[in-house]
Amino acid sequence: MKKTLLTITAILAIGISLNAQEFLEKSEVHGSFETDGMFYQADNALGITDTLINGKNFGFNAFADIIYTLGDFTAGFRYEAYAPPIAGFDPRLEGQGFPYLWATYATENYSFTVGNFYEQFGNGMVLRTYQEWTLGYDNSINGVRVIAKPVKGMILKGVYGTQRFFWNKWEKNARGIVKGVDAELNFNDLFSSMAGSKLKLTLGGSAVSKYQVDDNPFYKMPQNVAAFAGRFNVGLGKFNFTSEYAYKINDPSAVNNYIYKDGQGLVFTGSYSTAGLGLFAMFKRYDNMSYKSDQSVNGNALHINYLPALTEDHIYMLASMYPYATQPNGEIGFQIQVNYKIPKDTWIGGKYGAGLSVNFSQINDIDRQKAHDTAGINQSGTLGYKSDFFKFGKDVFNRDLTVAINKKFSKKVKGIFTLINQEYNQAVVLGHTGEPNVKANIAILDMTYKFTSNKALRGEFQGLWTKEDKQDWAAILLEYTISPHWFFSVADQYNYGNEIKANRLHYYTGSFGYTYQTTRIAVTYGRQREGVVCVGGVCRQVPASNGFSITLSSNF
Amino acid sequence: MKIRYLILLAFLVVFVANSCDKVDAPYVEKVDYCSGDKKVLLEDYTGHECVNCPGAALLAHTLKQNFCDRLVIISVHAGFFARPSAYDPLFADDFRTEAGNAWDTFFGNGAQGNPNGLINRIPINDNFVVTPGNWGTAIAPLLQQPAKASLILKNTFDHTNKKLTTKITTTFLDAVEGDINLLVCLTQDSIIAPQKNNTPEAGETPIDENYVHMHMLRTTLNGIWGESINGGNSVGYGDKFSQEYTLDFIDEWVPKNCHVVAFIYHEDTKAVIQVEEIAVSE
Repeated sequence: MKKTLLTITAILAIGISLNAQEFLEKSEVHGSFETDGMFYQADNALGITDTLINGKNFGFNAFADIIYTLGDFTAGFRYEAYAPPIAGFDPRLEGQGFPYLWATYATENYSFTVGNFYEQFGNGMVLRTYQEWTLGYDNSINGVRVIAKPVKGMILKGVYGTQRFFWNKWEKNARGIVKGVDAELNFNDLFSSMAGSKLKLTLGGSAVSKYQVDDNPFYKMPQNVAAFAGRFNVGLGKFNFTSEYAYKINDPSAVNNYIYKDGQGLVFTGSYSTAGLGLFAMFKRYDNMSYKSDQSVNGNALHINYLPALTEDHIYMLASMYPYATQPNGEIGFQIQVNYKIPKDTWIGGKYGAGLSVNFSQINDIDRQKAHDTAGINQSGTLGYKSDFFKFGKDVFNRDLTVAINKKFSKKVKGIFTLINQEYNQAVVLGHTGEPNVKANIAILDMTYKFTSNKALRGEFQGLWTKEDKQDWAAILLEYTISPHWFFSVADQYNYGNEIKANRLHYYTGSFGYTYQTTRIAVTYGRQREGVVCVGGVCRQVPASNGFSITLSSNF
Repeated sequence: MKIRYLILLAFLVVFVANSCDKVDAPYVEKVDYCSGDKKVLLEDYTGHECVNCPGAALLAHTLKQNFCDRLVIISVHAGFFARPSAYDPLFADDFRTEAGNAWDTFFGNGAQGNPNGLINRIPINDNFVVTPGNWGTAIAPLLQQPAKASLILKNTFDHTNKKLTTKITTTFLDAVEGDINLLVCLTQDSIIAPQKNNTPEAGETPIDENYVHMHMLRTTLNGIWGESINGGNSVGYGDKFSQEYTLDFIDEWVPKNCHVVAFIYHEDTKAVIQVEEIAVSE
């Protein structure tokens, strides 16, 4: 008996040992992490006193993503800490833990995920969950997702679950449950007769619904709110057209002031591309298209959908002073972009040629008329308003004309010249009710001088002129890089034209950073100007601050 | 193969499409708010240069009617839009108060952009500051709770010396733990002064020079945060506390347009337990 047991044990041990070895050989672990720390100090000129800081002189945001893979099986988690969150991030983020845990089994034709996941249907107008670290935004779904590719050219998706809401665990009758399906058909893959066709055609459709129990004692709330979308993508030679239309039934909420109007969204883009020339045009209209899994929640949380942005995202210091945030309650606008490569050996092109880009965008309020004679526009507990679909409202939300020339002067010198004319509705976008639209002109000169193949000095010289808000600004940035490891920079933004002399402040910063392979550390000291940070039309406010910040990031 | 999956997809679309509730008018629930003793405090944070604030004030007035007068409103002028203008004489008046400024800083109303309010000083979705669109839904469930205390206010106004004496008797109807503060405020109706406005139903736009300000906080009678009535001792059913305060009126305060608003609240959480309002003089 003992002999038999010993034999079985030995066989099992050898088997487990072999399996463990194979298991380890096939396993892969990848990950990334980032820590952002900010040490605050008092700055009376900015109105930041020790009393205001009140001992909270440090902000700390950090995450680590770990992904494990074994063949068709993948699993992972993300750890996050906001202890406490850096100023400007939602204070409800304070805490630490593992908000993102998931496991996926995926083959060539199927994928099955349980736990947290990010997903997007089409442009995202009825469903998009994503994470944006710089905004402190995460609307991931915790539930089940199935993706099927039964035949080449067909993708079917189904999702079911509840969304992340900071650190609040989902409980029965709390925020809503989201379910949705999406189908996309690529005709060129689906039908062999179209495989070689010049016409590239993709069609897609989505249906999403959220369920939230009606515990509102004041309004009659729809417990199930559905949204539908249809889309196409047509390519023909150098032309490409895409469009998506979305419709949502009555969805009274804190965002739309509890009106019962249906919602609509339309995005249409067209582009033409050939050697040296690119044209892009976009039209969009959103009408009452905020769609959240909790009707009482305001702000950047629990969005089920995402409304694509249309304005150019500026990156220069002064150009990004007035970034536009998409207005889900209603906006209509268009954008036109032209990119042209100016040939070599011409007056402007010179020896190396030059790049010219022109971008114009304008966004207005949608047309709004009374839905009833007895109720005001957007009055709670009514249909809210009526609107002509293609009519522009009179209020300009944002207008932007940007002209940029990118030119290389010699092997050592290159530059970018940018001129911007903006109009910005700070009352609507920033909530500065009663304040007039900002009309600003901005000029930027960005020059780079290359000393050697790995050492370069870049300088930005910027000016912003406006009669509104805080009036005129000048800014300078000097950045010295030693590739691929070091950078050093100093910058100053000076509000020299402020009508109030005491507010003619310098916002100076000094930074350096070191990069080694995939690890990067950067340290900054100085003043942070009060402003807004936007990514893809989703924004968060940033308060003025003074102090040190340190960022450490890596991936493996 | 393809047909099978398309049928499956169609089934799923129908499944989702069925998850779709169309609500027909009227959209407001028919609930009897006239029975019940509990009252709720709505502090409407506002400013004379806040263009959306008259719309919020109109909403507050409508809610007061819908809730059968069981809503007590204090209109707190504080923050950026309440500042007296140094450039525009139309908005040179200063309706801010020491208490209103302190509450605005503490709860963060001004920092989140007017108009907004506090509902019984209770956080809704982890935030004390409630946007007007959420006022009705935040107030309604509170009115359906039983009252834990009753407040009886008795005012005496000496017209010769322009002196108000108010006596507040608090009777507890349930056990309550912790320190309980009583805060007594003076509000005034029918103050005619310019107001920026973009709500036609609330007055002239874009500036209503004869805007009628209602429920405006004028001062408090016992400090910014009031004072403890129980010294931190537990209270139970039937326990009574009485306080008396006096206030010398200044010329701007018109007695016949003024009200005393008194409320008791948990000192630690700031949550209001009960509120009452009575005219200064009939």
